[in-house]
Amino acid sequence: MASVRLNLFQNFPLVHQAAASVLQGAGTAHIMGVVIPGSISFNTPMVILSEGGTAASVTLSFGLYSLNGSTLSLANSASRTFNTNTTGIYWASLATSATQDIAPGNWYFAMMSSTSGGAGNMSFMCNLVGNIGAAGNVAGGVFVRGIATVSSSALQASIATSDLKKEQASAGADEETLQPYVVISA
Amino acid sequence: MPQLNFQYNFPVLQGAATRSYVTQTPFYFAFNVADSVSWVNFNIVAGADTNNISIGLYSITGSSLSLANSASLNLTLTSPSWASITATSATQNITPGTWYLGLNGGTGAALTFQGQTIVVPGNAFPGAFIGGVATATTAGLPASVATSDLDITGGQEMFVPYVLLTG
Repeated sequence: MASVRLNLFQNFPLVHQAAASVLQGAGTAHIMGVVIPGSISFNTPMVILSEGGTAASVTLSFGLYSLNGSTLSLANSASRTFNTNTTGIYWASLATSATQDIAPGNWYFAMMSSTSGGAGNMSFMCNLVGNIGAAGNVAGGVFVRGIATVSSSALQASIATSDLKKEQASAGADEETLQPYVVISA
Repeated sequence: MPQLNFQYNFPVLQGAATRSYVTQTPFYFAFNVADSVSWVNFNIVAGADTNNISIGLYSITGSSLSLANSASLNLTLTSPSWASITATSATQNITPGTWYLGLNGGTGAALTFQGQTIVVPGNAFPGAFIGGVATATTAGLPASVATSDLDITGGQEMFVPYVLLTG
């Protein structure tokens, strides 16, 4: 398929089914595989922040990973520390660590918050959690969506697939299907 | 674009609408493939079903669907779960483009699938074929299907289950 250049890429369409949710906090990265159909410059990743009026300081980290064998490898990253005390829903851009022209194909977006959000009354727009039922009956094949349990508050340069948990791996574990919305603007 | 490791129709699980299909009543829906991907695991979310399920990959020429490949699985689920269908009739590296998937059950109880919450338009989709349900029962997956033989309006007809193809 001929490659095209994209100006925008969002990990899922932000149509009328989204909800503000707190992320899992430091040590747990929400990871989502995507299909990027064209090349796009990694200029400005953006999220949608939801604040409840309580003073809060939260750092959101975004990682762009590729899958190489049994390892997710960090290709690029972005982050932002929010120090807020307002109420409302806002677009928020993240500062990238390096310029990159993202090639088309499969990539993985990882998002991790420094806190669970609840304590700071801060959350992000995410998908409606789709906990579909029984634990353990995960999708077969390569890891596509789920969470990674890491040992620090920073996204790791590499994540072994053995440290990944697919969505539906645990009963009632909504965090495994929760994915923050992000759009990359070239 | 390089070979893909996975292709989905919906990028996230976004709630869980369900639809049931009468035994041996196949239904069909579009599935876009962005670039080549090997058929290793075709994952769907089935309900608490006990039945054989067949999945077929169809191409379309004019108003006729033609079966390119298929796989089946005996389901014995006690609650909704991902079901991974791997036993293909032939190895295939699926080329990019618009394909159609057909799903059918065996002689067991009705099959239930989970997918996105849907809107049910009162009129038929006015563009190219987007999906539909067979109007007559049939065993297995037909080698060819005339889209004019399908019911294309309604909730079952427009429902699209979650599908995740992993190579």
